[in-house]
Amino acid sequence: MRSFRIIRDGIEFIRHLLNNRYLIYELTKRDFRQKYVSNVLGLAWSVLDPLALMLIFWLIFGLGFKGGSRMEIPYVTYLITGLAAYLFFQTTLIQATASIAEYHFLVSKVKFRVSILPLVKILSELTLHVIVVGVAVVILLLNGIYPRWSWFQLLYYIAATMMLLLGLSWFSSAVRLFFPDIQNIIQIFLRFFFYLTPIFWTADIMPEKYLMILKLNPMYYIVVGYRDSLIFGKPFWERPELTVYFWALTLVCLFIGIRVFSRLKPHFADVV
Amino acid sequence: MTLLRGSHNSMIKMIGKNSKEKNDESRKAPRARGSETLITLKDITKKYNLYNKKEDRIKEALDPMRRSFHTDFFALRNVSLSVKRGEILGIVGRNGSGKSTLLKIVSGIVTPTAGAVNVKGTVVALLELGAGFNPEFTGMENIYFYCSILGLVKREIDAIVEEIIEFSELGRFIHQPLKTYSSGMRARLGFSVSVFVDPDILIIDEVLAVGDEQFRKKCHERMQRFFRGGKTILFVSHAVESVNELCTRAVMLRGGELVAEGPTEEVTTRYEQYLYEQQRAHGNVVRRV
Repeated sequence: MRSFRIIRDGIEFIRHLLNNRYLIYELTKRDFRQKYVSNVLGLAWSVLDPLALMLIFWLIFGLGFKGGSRMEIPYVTYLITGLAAYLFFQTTLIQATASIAEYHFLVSKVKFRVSILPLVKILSELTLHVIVVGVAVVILLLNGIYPRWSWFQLLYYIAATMMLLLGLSWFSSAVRLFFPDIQNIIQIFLRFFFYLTPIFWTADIMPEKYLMILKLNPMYYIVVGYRDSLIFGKPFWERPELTVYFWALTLVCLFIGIRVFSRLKPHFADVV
Repeated sequence: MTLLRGSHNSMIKMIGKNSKEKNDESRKAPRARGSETLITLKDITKKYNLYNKKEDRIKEALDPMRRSFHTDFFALRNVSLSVKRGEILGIVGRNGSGKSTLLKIVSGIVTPTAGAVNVKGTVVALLELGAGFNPEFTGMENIYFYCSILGLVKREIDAIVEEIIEFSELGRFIHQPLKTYSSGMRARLGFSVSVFVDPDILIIDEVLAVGDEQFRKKCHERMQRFFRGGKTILFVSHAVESVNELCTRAVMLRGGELVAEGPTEEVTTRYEQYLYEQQRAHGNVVRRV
């Protein structure tokens, strides 16, 4: 019966989102603008960052260690697709965790539905991510990888990432108000997982049993999915177990996230 | 500032008739269109947990023996109040008496620990100067942003933006970033937006203290026009003259409790008396020391 209430609340939440489209748009626009309003180069930094990272890895592993195996595709393309996917996840989670603390005035001075704040951060970073994906596409084209229908599958993987992010950030943004250390903990976890995800290394250099554990990382599915969509043209249903596992995990995250957020929300105004 | 569309209530829905209303009944036509009760508070209590250290909060949440690591602080205790349509209610009290908490409960920002709240109609509360204004963005941009938080869509904002700018008298500064504004300018902008959003209930918490004489006069006049238009205002102020001038009725809070209610002059006199007594007592202490 409790799960029915969640579904009913979920529908009500989505209806609230639709009714407040303009507000969400204004908030996202404002949040997005804030990223570059004071910088001279502004938005360019959000693209230069992943490019710089890619350059470093390409120099060390592409030219140096050669990624550990022969690849049928240029290492650059392998890198940029993985990086784009993971950096979106990483930056968004960090931003979304701090979202309520950042918009504290909307908690205690105004009547406002704060649960949309992590969503605003996700949308704001998504706007940036689209630009980064654009850059990645350019690199793909330059390396002889041409547009195909599977590129549209990227939308599926982006949506999947957003759902995962939503669940995680509802949890983390609520806890952050009472226990700010979680921001640091998350950052460490993200860095940890960066190395555990096949971004700059390929899956075949790992022994089978370790690979099993590594696949438990939800971002494994996403990063591999980005490459499937942009480079190999592989549909997501060709990875059934991983797909099911990912969505099961995401639903659990959403469930926990919503529960924790609603439990803690009445106390936000007292601590913010 | 907040805007509630429709009504909000928590726990029991209550339509109460406060016995103290009797003397006001004679002022207004009984059961006529003017006597609809918009705000009802019954036995509102708000308790905050005060923790000595940040860790104590977590310790308390996780303690298997459910020990308490906090002390209780009652911001409001058993406060009951009704406000009718078209009233300007003055709220007076010393700092810390619970005025702001009361306003936050009426606006729906804070949920009471106990008691029932029933508010009908749209509410805008001007609780703090420019809360939510982004200093990097211009006045104009902040108007749009703020109005959207209050629940308006672009079309509705476009309709009122000219009036807002005109009333605020900010002129070309409207296109300057907010960080260049003085506190008075921010107050003018804040007040303009809250008034032109045209809520049923307007709540004002001491923000006008920042404005200069001319601005305050303009705000008073606007509030009176608001009042004549059948709107309801909750007005919190330390400036007794303002309260006397504007309010039809007043209440006094002390230590989280409602200690006086009635015609404005009566309550404000009582309040001034209380302040005088406090000052004398304080003066005695000082002298003794």
